[in-house]
Amino acid sequence: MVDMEKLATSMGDLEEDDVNAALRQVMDEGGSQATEAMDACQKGMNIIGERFESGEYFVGDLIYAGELMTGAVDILKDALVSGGGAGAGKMILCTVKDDLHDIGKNIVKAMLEANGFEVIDLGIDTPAETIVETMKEQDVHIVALSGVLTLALDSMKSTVAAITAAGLRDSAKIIIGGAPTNEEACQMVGADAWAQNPQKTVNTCRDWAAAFAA
Amino acid sequence: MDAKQKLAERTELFNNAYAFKHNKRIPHLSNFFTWQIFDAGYDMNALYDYDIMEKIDDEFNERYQFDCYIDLLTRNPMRATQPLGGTHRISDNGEAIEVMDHVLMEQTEYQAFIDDSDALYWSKVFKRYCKPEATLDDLTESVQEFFEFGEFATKMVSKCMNEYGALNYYSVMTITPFEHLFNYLRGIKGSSSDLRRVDEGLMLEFMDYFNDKYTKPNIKMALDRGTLPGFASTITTGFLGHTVLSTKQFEKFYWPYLKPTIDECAKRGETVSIMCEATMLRFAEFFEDVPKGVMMVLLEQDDPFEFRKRLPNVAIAGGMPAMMLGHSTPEECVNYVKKLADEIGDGFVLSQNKMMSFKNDCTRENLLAVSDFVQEYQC
Repeated sequence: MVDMEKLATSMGDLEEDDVNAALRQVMDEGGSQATEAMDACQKGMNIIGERFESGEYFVGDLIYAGELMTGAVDILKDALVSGGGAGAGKMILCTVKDDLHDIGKNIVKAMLEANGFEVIDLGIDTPAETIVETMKEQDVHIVALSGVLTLALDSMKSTVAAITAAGLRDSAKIIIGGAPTNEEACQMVGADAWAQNPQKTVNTCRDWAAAFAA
Repeated sequence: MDAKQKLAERTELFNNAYAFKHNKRIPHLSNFFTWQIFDAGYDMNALYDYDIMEKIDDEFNERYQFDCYIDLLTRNPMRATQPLGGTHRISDNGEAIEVMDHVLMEQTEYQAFIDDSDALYWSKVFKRYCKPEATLDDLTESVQEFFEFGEFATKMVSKCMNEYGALNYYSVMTITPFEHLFNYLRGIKGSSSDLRRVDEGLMLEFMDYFNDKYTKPNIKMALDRGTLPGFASTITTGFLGHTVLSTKQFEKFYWPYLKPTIDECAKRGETVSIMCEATMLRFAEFFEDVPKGVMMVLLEQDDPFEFRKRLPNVAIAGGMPAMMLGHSTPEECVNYVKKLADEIGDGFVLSQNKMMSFKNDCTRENLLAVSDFVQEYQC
């Protein structure tokens, strides 16, 4: 049997060999502990988020953590009954139109999933219409828009306008993140919040999800 | 005032800013990269035509009268890289340059690099840079285009000094070993995971090797000849890779290769400018002992007022938010410049807090208001 506390700690410490050894043991033993192991990895991701906030870890560590988490899902996938991480609800994440950057988006995705969100990742260079259609089709109320270029602010603004024009704005919460975002940009774009780091995105979306669920 | 007199005045403005001596007016540094193309009524496809680029540069200088230029449309040699496949392409609407992400060195090749970097460059790295079907004719065309681009760049640097009477910001561009991994060989994701996955001793061996073979000779050459006339500093270095590093990683993998450059500049009375992406104040403690007069940082996301308080020994370039230049009124822009100049004081060069690249990064009206103001305002 794998010690789940130890697995969470190994994940938090970014000890790849220990994490992978524990996950392989879970699978070698039939996979009955797969869901527990996924939860432990998610707990480890929370430790990573806390260490990021305290300054012990930085962006490179989050990129690496995202790779570990993807690897963990890959090892456990055959034994996981569901996608795991259920609870916080569905949300959309994407890099907006005309911006091709995905590293920041992918870090945020890994951390959101670790916090129980079912993230609909619409990728990069995402047109506003795609976001609106997905919101309607999948009944999504939280949207996270990422961008690195200042050009992305224009696309974010157009996206918020498209969501408003579709009559979805009042029932949606929109957060923006990435290098050019700040309080002024948030106001200009018409978003509800902005985040200077992935952990803040997670915290904000968690609060919104809880409010929607209440 | 003729170009020679302008250049002399502007050189003094920048020397004073480095040395924290009082300037009679605010020096203005252009961090504009491609916005001026739109300002002149073209789109990014102008980057393929050197005559048009020269015309755009001329108009931009004539209209805004910057004291110093980081770029003169000489950053993107589109025509030169295209025959080999190219890593840059212009978006369909002509409003942006897209850079394709690629990894030029594998995680397993650190030892091979240390054993014979030239062999690795020619046998593996260069191949990965090129499209698979690249031929010798493509290489020949690329080299010819590079010569043409070089001629254009040289012409513009000379024109900047001799006709505009303005300074060039880049002198000798040098980067630390980690920057080379981050920006070229391994990319953001690769270099980040290598810090965890590759043996620390091997990483440091790579850093030492790269530093000795490539960085140190470049710095020695720059310092031996000193600051060239028409240039704002002796050495320029990019500060981008720090964006993924924790303080401990910075201390181990970055600082030991940057500090000697700063120390040597201080010893020889030369200057180093750091072009910083994102923020750097979390590493402020490393720069506390840099003597005044040696270093200037072009800020992006750090608050310039906080930076001045935290590092009163380091000159600042930057401060003007792209957000404001693109979306505020001329009056708001000018008021903010006044606040920057009055509160930061000496050791300050006004510049933009982003590489100004896209149509909506700035309005002509706002930039004209700022440019006119800095010519007149007595600090």
